[in-house]
Amino acid sequence: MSDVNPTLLLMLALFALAALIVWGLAIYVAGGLARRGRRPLWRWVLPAILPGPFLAGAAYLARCYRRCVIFWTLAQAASIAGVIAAAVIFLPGVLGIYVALDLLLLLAGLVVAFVPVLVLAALGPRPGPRVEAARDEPLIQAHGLHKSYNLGGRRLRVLRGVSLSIRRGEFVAVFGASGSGKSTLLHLLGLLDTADAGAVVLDGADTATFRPAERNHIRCQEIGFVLQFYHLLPELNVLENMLLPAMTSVGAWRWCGSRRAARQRAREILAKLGLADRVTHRPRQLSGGEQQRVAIARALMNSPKILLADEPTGNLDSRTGGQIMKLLKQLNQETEQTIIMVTHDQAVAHMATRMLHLRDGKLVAAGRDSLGE
Amino acid sequence: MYKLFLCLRYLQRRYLALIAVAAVALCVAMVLIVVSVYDGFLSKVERAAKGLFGDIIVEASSLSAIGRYDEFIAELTGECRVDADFRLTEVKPAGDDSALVFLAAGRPHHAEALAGKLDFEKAVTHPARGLLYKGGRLLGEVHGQLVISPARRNPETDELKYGLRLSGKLSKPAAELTDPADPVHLQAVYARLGEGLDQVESATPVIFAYSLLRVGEDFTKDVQVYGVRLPERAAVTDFEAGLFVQPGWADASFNPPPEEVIKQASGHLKEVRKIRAREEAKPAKDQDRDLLDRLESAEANLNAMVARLRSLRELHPWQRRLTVLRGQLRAEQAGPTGQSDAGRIQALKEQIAILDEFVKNALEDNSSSGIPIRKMRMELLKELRLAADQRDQGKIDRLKDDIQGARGRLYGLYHGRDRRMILGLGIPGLSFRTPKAESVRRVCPGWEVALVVAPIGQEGLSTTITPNVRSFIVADDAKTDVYSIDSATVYVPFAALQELTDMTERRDIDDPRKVTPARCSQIHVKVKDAFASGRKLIDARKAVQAAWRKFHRVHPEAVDARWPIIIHTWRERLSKFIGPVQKQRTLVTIMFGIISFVSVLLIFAIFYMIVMQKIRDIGVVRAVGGSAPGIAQMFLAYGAATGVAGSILGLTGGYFFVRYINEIEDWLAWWSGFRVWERDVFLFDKIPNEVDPGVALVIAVWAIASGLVGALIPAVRASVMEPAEAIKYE
Repeated sequence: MSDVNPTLLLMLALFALAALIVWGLAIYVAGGLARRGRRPLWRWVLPAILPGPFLAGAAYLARCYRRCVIFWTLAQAASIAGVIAAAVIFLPGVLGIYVALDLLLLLAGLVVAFVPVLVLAALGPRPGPRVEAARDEPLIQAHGLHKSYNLGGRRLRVLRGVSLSIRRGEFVAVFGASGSGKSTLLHLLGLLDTADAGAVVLDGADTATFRPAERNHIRCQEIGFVLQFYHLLPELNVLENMLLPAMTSVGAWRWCGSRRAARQRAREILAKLGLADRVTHRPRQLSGGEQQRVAIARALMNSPKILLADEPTGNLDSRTGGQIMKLLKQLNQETEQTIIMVTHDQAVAHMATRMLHLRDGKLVAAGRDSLGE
Repeated sequence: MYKLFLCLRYLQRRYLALIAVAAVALCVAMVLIVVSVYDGFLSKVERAAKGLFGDIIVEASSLSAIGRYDEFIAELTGECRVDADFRLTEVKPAGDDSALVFLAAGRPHHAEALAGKLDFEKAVTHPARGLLYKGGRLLGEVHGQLVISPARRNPETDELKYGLRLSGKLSKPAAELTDPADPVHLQAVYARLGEGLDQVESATPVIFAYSLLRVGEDFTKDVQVYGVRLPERAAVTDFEAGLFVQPGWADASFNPPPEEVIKQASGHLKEVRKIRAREEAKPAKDQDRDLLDRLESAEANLNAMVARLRSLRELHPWQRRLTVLRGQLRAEQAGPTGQSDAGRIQALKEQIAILDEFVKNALEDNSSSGIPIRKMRMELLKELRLAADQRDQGKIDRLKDDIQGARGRLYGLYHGRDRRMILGLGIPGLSFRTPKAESVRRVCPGWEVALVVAPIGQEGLSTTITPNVRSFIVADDAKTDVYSIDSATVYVPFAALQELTDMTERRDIDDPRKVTPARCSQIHVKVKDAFASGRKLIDARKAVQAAWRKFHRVHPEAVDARWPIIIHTWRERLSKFIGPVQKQRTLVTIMFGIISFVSVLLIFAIFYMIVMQKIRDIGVVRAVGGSAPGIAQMFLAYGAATGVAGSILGLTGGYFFVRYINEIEDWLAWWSGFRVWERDVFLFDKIPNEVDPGVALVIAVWAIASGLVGALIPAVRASVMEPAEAIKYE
């Protein structure tokens, strides 16, 4: 032992100390999240109290990725076995050896937890089979959606039983005043959020039964978002922003094969929207209208069934806004793209084929349109 | 794919993270430099210790305590060095090899040790080997048998004499050994008495004394004197690595070949001239006058010495005479064998003279009887030529003796084997260092010096102790990298110092059984590589201790019971010095480790900020289908990438800093006048500048892990955000 470099042992000890501190913080964070009621506490804390400190964090992350439950179990077992072995075999010098073994377990746990995660991520997600409803069935339906928020200790009820039914090829505008919950409705329809009560039925399938991976997949492949503030990533240029949905659906390995096809498609869409000469520009170099067009192009990248637009013209002047609306109408008429739009501007709402009015958390029919139940 | 893509893109574009990278790089470089210098220092100490005294040291508190050292070494290595004046008596060719026979007049103490007792009737035989040297280099080893014949008392002198005879084979042609122009001499003979200890590879005795060194008329310095056996010492330590004339020679001796001495000395002279030219090339106000003065005097000394060495070889009258004698010998040996007869030659010459007269008269007379006479004359001339051409064996023998004598005189001046000294490089006054750390010698090999040694082996307390003085010729100089040793040590042959310190054997004239054995101060032992460290080295030391206890019981006269023998490993001997350094290293590493923890917190803060800045973008990625763990993985990868980038930068910067740390320190000293690394305090000339790749790897792993740790909580925070909230975030 006298020849083992004490510096090394010392650095290992320091690292173990750091890991312990972070481990403690991780438990605290987990506890905080459990208190917010998202998951039962034991599912958060149990991984955290494993003997190998920090293995907890790694195991948790592995556990998030459901297919790695088996690896998570193996990592737990290895950690416990390792510590017992260390104590039994190296009883005299247990302190020094324990520290060294701890680091080893930690690294092993990280590798064991992350390697399959990384491998599977490289391959890409594989969602379950989807059932396609018949063409004349409604594409998306909402049944009695309720949603409320916590605001400073008080519960604010935003949606109080919203129901609607939308068919393929419809261009629906949901019109309502600011704060009436139209964005909330859009998020529920786009599976970005879950309702407190009620159901969202997509193509005949109840989205409440979907697992997170499936929801992600649907958001990627079948739903396109266009948002008020364009929401383009500033570090990426136009083409890369376009490719984001394509990259989300495949892993790094498969990307090599599908890259060229994706680029081709992106350029086509950009050309169709008149942005062919803006391909390498960054968002900050584009005008508002051009950015919104890029957002629309990005939403169309994976040929989604539904295009959800949240105040698409809210940040634009009337002329540019008119251009965007013309574009949306063109999309709807030429390609039968189903579009659901929310807006507070009545003029804009009238440009849709169907208008719904959201007031006091409930949908009321407005004028010529019906709720389509 | 989006995770990898975004991670790399953020690494390129998010300049905030570069601060984190810089923090990691700085911490990595800091820890690497500190750990490397400390580790390097300790490994230098280890190397220096092994270079100074091998792995295990046997010593006593008194400098003149250890007796019967050769016999004890035989217990350790299995071989006992036979201390006797062997003479080459016969050389016989044996195939490609040659067989040699030596004869030696044995001195009693070795004979009894090798035979086992003082009075023995039958001759004792041991396998033995002898080291033959020729022209200053090892020619080869003779492997054969050493025969010790029983004692015979010389009737005239009443002296007890033993016969030691070594006969064995050497794989070199016989002609090489019998060339009178370049004779061989026997450097050492080792008799194999047993197997020795498994762990021990070699051992050598050392005498350690203090003395005054006198150079020229007026230079006196107190120095430590080491009496060592070469090339034995080269096998135990790496003494030969630091030599000037014989660098790295495994067969280094106190008598390097004169050609090598001249070569190195003139090479050094050229270097000194270059340094002087460089200093003179500087503008006048930048010149260091003091340095130039010293360089000039060193150059003058070296010049004179090189010239003298050359002249000794080329123009010395003995050398000239030797050349002439060799020519004569060659001429004499070239003729056909036979015994030349001076009388016969004279008679033939007279006969030829008479016939010449006849021929002359016959030509004048024009008588036909000239032809048979001429024929006779020609035959006589032929006979005369033959007689004159024949080798005169007597003359050949005389010439050989003359040559031997001339060589003896010449080599007596050159090669007085017991009168050679190796200086430590760095004795103040005999050499100095330029500001650029080049060594300049003012005294080079060939110089004559004198040593004044106190006879510490003398028995009894005497009120008048007369020191022994002897002159030596400098043969070489040695550098061990340890400043305190190099600046105050000289090395002389073991036997010479033993005589000077009066530590030779003393035997009662009337009763040869009463003997005070020859003594030495220390025994340095080298263990085999497999046992060279840790637990195994301590076990080896215990084996040596056990061997000593056994030996002492058999030979109680080997050491005085009042002065106990201490046997310890190099590490134990230096523990007082190493211990504090190790503790310092541990402490400094802890401190730097704690400071480096700051980088983890910095990464945490920066990444948290980045996550806060990117909340909306996270929402967008979720909206296009990114998963929550995917977001977390992206940020964790980002953290790891920060660690990777930081560790690469830090390791590179740290490596170059350590590698050129001496140059940096020189520049710093030049710029600010503040020298950080004091040679006297820190023992070595140079700051250790090696980086251990294992340490670098550990530091890199730690840096990457700290990136992960720092980014963990922000990553989790990013992933658990609700996409709807994230999108709405402003």
